[in-house]
Amino acid sequence: MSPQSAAPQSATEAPDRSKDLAVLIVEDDAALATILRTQLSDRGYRVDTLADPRAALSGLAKTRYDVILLDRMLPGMDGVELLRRFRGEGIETPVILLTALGRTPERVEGLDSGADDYVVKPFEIDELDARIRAVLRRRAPSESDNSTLSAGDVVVSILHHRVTRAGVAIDLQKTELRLLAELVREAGNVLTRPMLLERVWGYDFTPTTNIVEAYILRLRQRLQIPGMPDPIVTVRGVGYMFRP
Amino acid sequence: LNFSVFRSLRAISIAFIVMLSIATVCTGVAVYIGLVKAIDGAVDRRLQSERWELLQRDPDARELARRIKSETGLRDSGDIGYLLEHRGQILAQNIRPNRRLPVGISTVGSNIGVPGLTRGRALVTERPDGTTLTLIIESEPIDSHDAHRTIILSAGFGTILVLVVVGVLALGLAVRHNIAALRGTAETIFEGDLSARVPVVGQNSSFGRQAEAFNRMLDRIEDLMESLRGVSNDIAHDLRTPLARLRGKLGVILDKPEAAPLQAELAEAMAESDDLLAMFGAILRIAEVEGGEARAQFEPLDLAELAKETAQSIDAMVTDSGRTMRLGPWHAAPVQGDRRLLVQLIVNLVENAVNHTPAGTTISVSVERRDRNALLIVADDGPGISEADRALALRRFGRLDASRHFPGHGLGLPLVDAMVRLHRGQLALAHAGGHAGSGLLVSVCLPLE
Repeated sequence: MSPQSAAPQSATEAPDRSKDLAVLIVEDDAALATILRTQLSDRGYRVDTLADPRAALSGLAKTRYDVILLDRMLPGMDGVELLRRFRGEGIETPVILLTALGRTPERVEGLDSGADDYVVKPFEIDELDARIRAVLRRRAPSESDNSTLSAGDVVVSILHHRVTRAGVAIDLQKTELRLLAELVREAGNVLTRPMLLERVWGYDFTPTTNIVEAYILRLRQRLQIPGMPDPIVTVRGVGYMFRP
Repeated sequence: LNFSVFRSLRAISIAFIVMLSIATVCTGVAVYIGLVKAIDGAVDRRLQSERWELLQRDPDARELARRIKSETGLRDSGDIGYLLEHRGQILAQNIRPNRRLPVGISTVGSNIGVPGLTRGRALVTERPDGTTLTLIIESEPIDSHDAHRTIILSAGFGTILVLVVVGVLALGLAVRHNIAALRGTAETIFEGDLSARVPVVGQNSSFGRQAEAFNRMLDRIEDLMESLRGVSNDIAHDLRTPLARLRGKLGVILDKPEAAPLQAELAEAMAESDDLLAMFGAILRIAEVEGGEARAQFEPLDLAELAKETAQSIDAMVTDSGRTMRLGPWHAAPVQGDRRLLVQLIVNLVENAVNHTPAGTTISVSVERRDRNALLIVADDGPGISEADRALALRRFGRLDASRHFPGHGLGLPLVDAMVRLHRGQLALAHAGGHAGSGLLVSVCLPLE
């Protein structure tokens, strides 16, 4: 039951990859918990749901989970309080906080108390799926240093602000480079629009224009080499993936 | 009469001090004059009685001279001066004034050359036998008594004046200090820190009681705001959660093969719920910003650097939308602020320009310094907003008729306004070219650090 199935090397986003992943949902809203369970089960996760935060503490002692989805507001106990107890008892399972509150101070408080990510309700199931995978990847040991990244025929040197594709130097603007670096680092995995806005632009809000689309388009034009395929794949309604 | 000048504490103090000074000086002068008059009166009565005694039973010149000699022999000279003349010939004397004195009563000083006399009164009588009798009595028995009297009077009235002036200034200072404390607290609260309170000095003083009453009012306001915020959080939670569920169900349906013919309608329904949720997000963000908590995380930053980076990082979006972005000039402008919120502010303003102008519009972003302020300007050469519509554009959900077909939820500018106020700045809308229809110019004025 270890998260080895989340190793970053796997080539494509295959649904069977999540087969062995066990998810615990701690959520008092029964209807939302049911939808989540259905949607995550469809994607191959093994899902348990709990409504009572106190039961969650004992439940964790019995079963090992790969990731916990924790509601921020629970009856009788704050989700953040429960998270602190988890961490206090040495439970290092990755936790994603689910919340209706998108306020920055609460986000910071959640991450400070040991959450691995923070998802504001409502969210797309694809978004949650991508974030679960991202959290597991981050927990997996990372490859060497991050100053030079490569996937397929693309090499990105962040430190020297240099990009090559098949040995050809490509001139990129700062934002374009950061976007490419993020895609290359997570090559083979889908990055959703909100994830990219957070990581590349540092936004914690939803813009009313298609900023991500515009930069993906730029990046595709810059990376274009006649006769070679487009390395960036659009996953419709979800996000983008760098084809390694 | 215009009394409005007395609404200022300073004007009242100054007017009071000026009037008091005039009154005190007048009193001092009056007392001085009265004192001198009283002494002169007493001296004059003595002169009259002395003359009456000397001229009893109408003596001839020889008899009068004898009487004078016996008087001067009897007493020490100096108290009363006698001089009896007959056509320039002195018959009897103990003083010798160096000039002729007028007939009747007059005031004499040291200038008549009588040793030891600084001030006195003279009574000159011409008698029918041709003799002239001059009597002089000192009204200043002690040398330079007048100077001492002036000093005593000045010191007395001066002390009163100084005490009153100091008292008035101290009172003014105390009132001013108290008012400043109230105003400072009110301003802090206006800026969003509802926990500010007036310092209470001396619980039983009227200032102290006033401060306590003020603070009780603030406690009440804070409680009300707190519960209001709680309610808005609850609403956010209670409405967003079922909305999220609804959206989730739509997603589940969308994934089903039977739903294939309804794809377009389902996507539309999802987009509608997304708009609703975006609106909630904006309302909650405004509430968060207005709560003022972000101020605790303010850090020094260069507005120009931040605006430049932010504008450059969305340049491709503006270009793809068919509009042109003109960047700069960037004049270094150190301010205190929340980086994330300022980034959102800049993005919102540029998106606002993109969403409310036709393709082909030029959008310019720049940062300048004016006086002690940093000025972030986002301008376009689109249709602009008329003066009459500006207030509406800043109001929540105050969408202008002209913009109803544009994307957005009508909370963009109100959110920017809240963010600017959080940063103790001012938001202003103007015509970019100075006249109607020349485009919108939004200026954000933040105090320089």
